[in-house]
Amino acid sequence: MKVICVTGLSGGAGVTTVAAQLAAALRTQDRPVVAFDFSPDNTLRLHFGMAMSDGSGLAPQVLAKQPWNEVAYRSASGVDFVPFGQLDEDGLNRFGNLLTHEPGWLSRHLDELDLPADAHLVLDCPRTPGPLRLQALAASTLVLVVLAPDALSFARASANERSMRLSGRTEARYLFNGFDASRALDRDVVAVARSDLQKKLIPVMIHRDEHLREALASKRDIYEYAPSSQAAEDFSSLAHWLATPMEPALHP
Amino acid sequence: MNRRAIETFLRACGVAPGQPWSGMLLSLIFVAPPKKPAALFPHIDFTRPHLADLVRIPLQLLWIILVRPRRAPPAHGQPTPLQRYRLRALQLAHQGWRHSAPMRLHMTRLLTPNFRHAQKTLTAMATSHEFWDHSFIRYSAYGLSVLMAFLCVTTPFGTLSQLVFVLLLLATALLIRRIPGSTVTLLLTVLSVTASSRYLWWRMSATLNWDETFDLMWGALLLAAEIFTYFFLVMSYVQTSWPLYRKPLALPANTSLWPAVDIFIPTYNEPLKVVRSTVFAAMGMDWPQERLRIHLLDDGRREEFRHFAEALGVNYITRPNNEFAKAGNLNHALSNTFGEFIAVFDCDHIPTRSFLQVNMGWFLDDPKLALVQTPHHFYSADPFERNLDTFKKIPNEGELFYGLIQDGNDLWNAAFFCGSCAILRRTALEAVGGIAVETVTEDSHTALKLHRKGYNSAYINIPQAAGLATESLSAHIGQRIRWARGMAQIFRLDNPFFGKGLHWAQRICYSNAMLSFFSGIPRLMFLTSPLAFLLFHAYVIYAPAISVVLYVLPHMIHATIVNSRTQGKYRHSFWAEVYETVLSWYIARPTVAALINPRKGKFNVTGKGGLIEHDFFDWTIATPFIILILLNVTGLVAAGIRLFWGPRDEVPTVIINLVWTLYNCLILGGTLYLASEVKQIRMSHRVRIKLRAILHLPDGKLIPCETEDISEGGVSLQASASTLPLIESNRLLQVSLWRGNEELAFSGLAVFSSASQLRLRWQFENEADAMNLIQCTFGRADAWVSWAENTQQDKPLESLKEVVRMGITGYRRVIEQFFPRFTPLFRQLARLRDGIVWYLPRTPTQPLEHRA
Repeated sequence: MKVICVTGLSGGAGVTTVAAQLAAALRTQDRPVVAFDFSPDNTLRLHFGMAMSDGSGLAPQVLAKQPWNEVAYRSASGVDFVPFGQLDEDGLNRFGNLLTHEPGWLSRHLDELDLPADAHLVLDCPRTPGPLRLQALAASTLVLVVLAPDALSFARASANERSMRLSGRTEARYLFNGFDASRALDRDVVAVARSDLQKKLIPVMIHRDEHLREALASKRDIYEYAPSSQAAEDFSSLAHWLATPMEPALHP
Repeated sequence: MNRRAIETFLRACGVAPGQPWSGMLLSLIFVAPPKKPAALFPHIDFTRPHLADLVRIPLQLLWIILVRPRRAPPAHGQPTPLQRYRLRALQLAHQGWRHSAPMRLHMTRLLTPNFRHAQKTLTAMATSHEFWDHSFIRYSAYGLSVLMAFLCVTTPFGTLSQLVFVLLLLATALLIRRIPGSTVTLLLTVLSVTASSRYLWWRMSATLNWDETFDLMWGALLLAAEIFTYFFLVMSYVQTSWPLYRKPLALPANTSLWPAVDIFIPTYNEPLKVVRSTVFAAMGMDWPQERLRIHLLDDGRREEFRHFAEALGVNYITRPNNEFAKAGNLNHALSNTFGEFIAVFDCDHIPTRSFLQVNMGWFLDDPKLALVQTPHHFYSADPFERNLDTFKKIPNEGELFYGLIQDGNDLWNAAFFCGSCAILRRTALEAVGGIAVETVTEDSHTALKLHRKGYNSAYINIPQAAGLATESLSAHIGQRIRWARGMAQIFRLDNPFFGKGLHWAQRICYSNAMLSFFSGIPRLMFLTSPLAFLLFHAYVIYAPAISVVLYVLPHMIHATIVNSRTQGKYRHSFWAEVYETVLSWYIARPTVAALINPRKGKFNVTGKGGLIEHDFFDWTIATPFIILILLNVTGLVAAGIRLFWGPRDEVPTVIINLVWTLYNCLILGGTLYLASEVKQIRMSHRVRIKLRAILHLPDGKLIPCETEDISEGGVSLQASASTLPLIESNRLLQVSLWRGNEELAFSGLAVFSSASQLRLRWQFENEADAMNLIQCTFGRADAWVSWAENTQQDKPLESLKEVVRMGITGYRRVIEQFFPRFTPLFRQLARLRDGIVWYLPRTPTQPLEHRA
């Protein structure tokens, strides 16, 4: 089982979009996949057509001491996902405390899942520090850091890479999202990142494709909304890249 | 009529056999039309019946019943003896066919595994034993072989013995020719040399009529031509006996060890449009930037070029005079630069980015290596290909040279410089005094000088640069005339047979390269020889017709078998005849002139990038061939007269000469076809390359695409998955292409839009865009690698059919040119032919099954 933790370093890089569409791409390639929303924003579900008003999800369920699987949903295109759920400030604090007291909570629950060996879990992980983020990073086999092709993202990626190297945590792979080849800065940032991050930079890039925004607006994933768009092709390539054991470093 | 035929008939009518007779009869009458007749009647449209189907259907049925079942292969598990033999031969070939191939072929079935093993070790021992190293034994063996070969060639045979002998040769050749591997090629070559040598010996010893001066004169001329062709053939066999197919050698990982390279791009009068792309691509080459210098060598001294070079930061070199043309230009640049290596590109050969990395490796390995040559690849059709419509279908004229001959030369360390797409070592070049200036083919002469000095050369057959082919037939021929003249000059001034420093095989390879340009006169001889008999009753070959057949045919058939095997991928049988016939007339005169006075003749620049605005027939080019055709037609008439009113005993001779003349007429017809120039109107060539691309729509949506073709002017896209949206004309769009893993976007105006295709005209803001485009397309490392994958291996009979078709069409075109009022007649004839073909039966699209 592969646990892919999708996270970002700066706001607006498109972490949730990448997590959702990556899960959809893995699904279209007939790989068993479950997407988890670990972000209190609770927006992953919107990519899969869940109603805005429906506040059920992982966190409220845990606080109510109910089992997880009751809040696992399946989208129209067949992607299994677990939303975070709607919580108020107080609920978020209680959920945080619960996790702080039990450091192995997430790993234990993920191990309980009865999934085939080739299954992928895609975790949409908030970029702000917190106990759930820590546990998600610890439980994941791969951390996928989503970058916007701008100067800020690149600067933070370099810094993050240095601190990661020092702390010796799970290896991160970097993914550019929203790349536009007609903008000189995009090309320059990618070129610099390529020489700086080298193999840590995923060779696939997600293009800035209007199809993606339209897909979200129509509450469908990109394979339902525009299967022959460039974005769909990009996520398919990304899913292939992740599922193919090319680099031994990815599979320790 | 047997049961099987009836069953076939019933199945053809859509009735399942095996029912009671009454049922089948009823179905025949009532169940019509049959459900799936299309497979058996591929040419009949049952939805639109035609009156003529009353004839076509019975005809097809009759044919299926009478012909097809007999032709169908026997049931499974029972191959015919010949098939069994072939299967076995192929199996053996796959088992690693190394030693004593012919021996094992006949013995494997008799031998037990133990015995076979013993035989293998015995062979290994016999071939590796040290007594072969003893010079006495070696030379005795050589002597014995020569003696036996001499006997084999010179022993006079009667008609019957010669028949048996040639049949044995032919049977051997036909049996082994399917077995892959170089050993068998050599064996076939031996058979061919035997047949040809016997022929030539017989010609010299038994076919000259010493009593008649007139006959003797003709006979001797023809014999001289044949001797030339014989030596040329044998030397070609040596030259291409074992093509090396050299692989690139990897460079050291440490790039600081890579040497400095100067890139020379000589130009004289070519437009900047042509030169630009080459400079752009050269700038994108993968090489340490501080050790790569690009020099634009402008012999035209044009301000425009100076500005262009300065804007790009490319070194611009010019000189006060144009002495020695291109050779002088290169030499002048040589004295003004200092890089350790020099890569030369004609200004219209666009290099790929990998050119240096692929080709430099061998230089670091061998300090005596002076030259690495790569093929000249053309992405546009040359006039032969364009006029014959064979582009990318049939190997072109140059492919034999770059595909096979240079690889063959490379084995003998005799691959030579071709003026462009090559790298030279500066020290070596300086040791021979720079590029040779004595002849108009400075390139091969320079290589010859390098080899004489003991330097080595290499050839790497990977297209790493591509250019435009010559545009018009006359320009193409002009270029070949220059080569022919230059080669003849070298032959006179610096003959590779003599002089110091060359290995015997190098002498053969160089001489062969030059002799190929002398083949014009012999070919003209062959085109006119039968006329000597038909018109003047001169016996050029003074022998009974049956002997002529028994000696000539094996000579020709074996040569075709060997050439089809070795050259099949690079030149198809009979096409070569057409190519060479066109050139023969034009190269005959300059070669002779250069032989007589080698110091005359100047360099003429080959024109590229021009236009042919409408179809036309190039009368200037075709005139000599029309004269030859008229002569041959007269010969045909004379043959008719001799056949019916001449003496009876001459009939076989007349027939032989008739067949020969007909063949000549056919080949000459092909030259007429060539001379009808097909129009060429596009300014920039659209090159068919499939590349990944992304189309950026104005509303921000992105569609994955593939390019259909690309030129410096525009691009044609097709969607890789679904259909393309319709886009109104003159909308500005963007297209992403890749340079390695770097994605770049280019702007273009929509010119044509449909669901399956979108055509854009590039809108470049600056030079950088144009440069990036070249580097994304023509400069890609793999741009030309898979280019030749569609050309097919030669099948001699198929090629013959094609050439016959082409020859006939050639005549038709000329007659239509001369007498336009015959055009309707030809159309009628074509319609009549099509009409007849329309009635003929076809092969069913599904095989007829035979169930036991």
